[in-house]
Amino acid sequence: MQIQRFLGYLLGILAEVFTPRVRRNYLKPWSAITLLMLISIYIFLVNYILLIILICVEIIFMFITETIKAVKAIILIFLTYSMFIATGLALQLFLGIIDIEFIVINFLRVCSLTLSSIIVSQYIRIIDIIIWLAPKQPTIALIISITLRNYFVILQVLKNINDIYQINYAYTRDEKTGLFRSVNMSVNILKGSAYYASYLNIYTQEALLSRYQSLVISYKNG
Amino acid sequence: MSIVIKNLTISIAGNFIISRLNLDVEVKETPVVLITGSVGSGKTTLLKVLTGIAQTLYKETISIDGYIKLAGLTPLEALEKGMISYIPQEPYAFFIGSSVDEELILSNKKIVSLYSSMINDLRGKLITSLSAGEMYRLLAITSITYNTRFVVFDEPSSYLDLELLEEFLRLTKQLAKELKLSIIIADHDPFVLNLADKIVDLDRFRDSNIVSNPTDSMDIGYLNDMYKSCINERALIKERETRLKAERLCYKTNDRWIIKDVSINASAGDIICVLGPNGSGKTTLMKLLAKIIKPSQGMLDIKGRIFYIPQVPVKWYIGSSVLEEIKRFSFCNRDVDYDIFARYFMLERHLLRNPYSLSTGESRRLALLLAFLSHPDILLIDEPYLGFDLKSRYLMKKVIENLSKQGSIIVLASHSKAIKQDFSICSQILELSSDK
Repeated sequence: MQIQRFLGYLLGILAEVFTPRVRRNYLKPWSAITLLMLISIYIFLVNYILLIILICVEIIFMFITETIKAVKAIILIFLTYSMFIATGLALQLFLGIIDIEFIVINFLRVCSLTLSSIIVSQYIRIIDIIIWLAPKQPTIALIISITLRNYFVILQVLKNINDIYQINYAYTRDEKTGLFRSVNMSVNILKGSAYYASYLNIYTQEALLSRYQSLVISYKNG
Repeated sequence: MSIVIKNLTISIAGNFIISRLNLDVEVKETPVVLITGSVGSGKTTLLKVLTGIAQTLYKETISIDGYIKLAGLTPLEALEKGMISYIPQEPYAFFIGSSVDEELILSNKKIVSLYSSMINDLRGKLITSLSAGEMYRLLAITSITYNTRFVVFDEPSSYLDLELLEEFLRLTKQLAKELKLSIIIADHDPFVLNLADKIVDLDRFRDSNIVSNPTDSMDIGYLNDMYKSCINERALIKERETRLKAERLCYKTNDRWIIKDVSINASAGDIICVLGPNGSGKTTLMKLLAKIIKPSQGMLDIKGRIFYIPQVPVKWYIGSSVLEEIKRFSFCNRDVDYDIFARYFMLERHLLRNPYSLSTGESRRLALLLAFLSHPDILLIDEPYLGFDLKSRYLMKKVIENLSKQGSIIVLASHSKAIKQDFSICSQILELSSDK
């Protein structure tokens, strides 16, 4: 069950990294959006030296503010995107056009974009976005709240499904181990996760509909 | 505020769920209306129709005939005016914020202060760190606004212990005097019957063709023998020495003790009942025993194959149909008539459905069937009566007693004292308190 264990470990780290903390100060919604836009423009315009500088600043910032959580996030991001380097290089070798700089700069771009998103997501509150948007654009605010809700909840729940299935299926079937069956089970778990994601999405809409309507009316009435 | 329903018939994809339901209540006389009925009787569907959720999200698949007026408005109009607070059966999808304090920002301060005795111990916590019972308590309070006229609960007894539910209804009735609230509860716990002013039994409004067969028409021993005859006996051989031993088990998170000095000593055939109010650490203890999390202190010695039925998520399946899921867990090495198993667990009509489309009670019965097919050495069930009516509870009791006779250790964790009464043969009762 090595693959499933690794999947569980990966989901655990992702869930931990993307779970916000209770803080004293948060960014205002408009400043978070502006900041993300500026960072994105910067990332897509500058050369690799400035990108490396940005990544270093982001890593230092994460180490100061998040410590252990940051170490896990950084290792995970770099490991995951390293696979893209290998894939990109293999594709270029196959096509016969080798452009290392192209691969490296895009690797740095995705890494810095992900790090920026993680940092900013730790300093925003969904509540502030909803309060800010609800009176102006109720539908957009509802979509954002459902999307962000799913984004925070889904990794946690997927980890739960993986844990529970591993206990209930693997622990009661000691003989059914081995790489082939693990791959098969992992694929099935991903399939089950897709069912769960659809279920969660519909369920969140149901759950939030009446509450959201009450909130919008309350805010409209001051 | 009045609730008027005349000749209401609800059908989904051609299947009648409710036929010709009539209800006429005035809030002054009956502030608490209880909708009861067996698992799959359409309680949740009726709530979704009353709240206008079905009309908004499932226009294409659901057919609703009849007259429904809430305070003179259609459910959709009442929903659009923000008059409905719906508290769903599974609490974890409801929250917008990531912490309790964020959620309270959105709530009315006066309403929150009324419920302060129920909410103060949750302040400062992250939503993800709350137990399911604590989540349900928080969402019950945060869902009420000054516009609310109808508070609609789906299965509160599954998550709130009776004292908390009584306290919540007492405070809400206090608020009802000022805001003229109506409280609609869908539940099948017999204890909740005493709290209601009016009871609507949905089993009286069902199409007789879709009522499940009773479990007691078949002997579980027969089912067991049939299962054993079709499998490789080696698959069911128990560990030579099944045991579950915990000594001074502790679990700490964010400088808070969730579990402190819990000791268990169980051997083959024992039934352990873990009781405690919301937030006392029952689920954490189950996760420790299932080896999902590691203890901060103490010794845990478990020998045997484990099967864990969690409280949340209720649905954790990966198959595209109930039958596929049953086949995956079955040890049968030849074709067998799974209808017999499904009939015993009252799932015969659902074999080809996606497990995610089942109701909470049906989904939990499927988990119980999978546990039965897996014949684990240790069976852990978090909130065994979650979503269960009396018939399903009887089924649960039969299955547990059967597995126990065959040498499985059973651990049941619940806030419901009914467990203590129903499982008088518990070899150990462990009472957890929320005060560590």
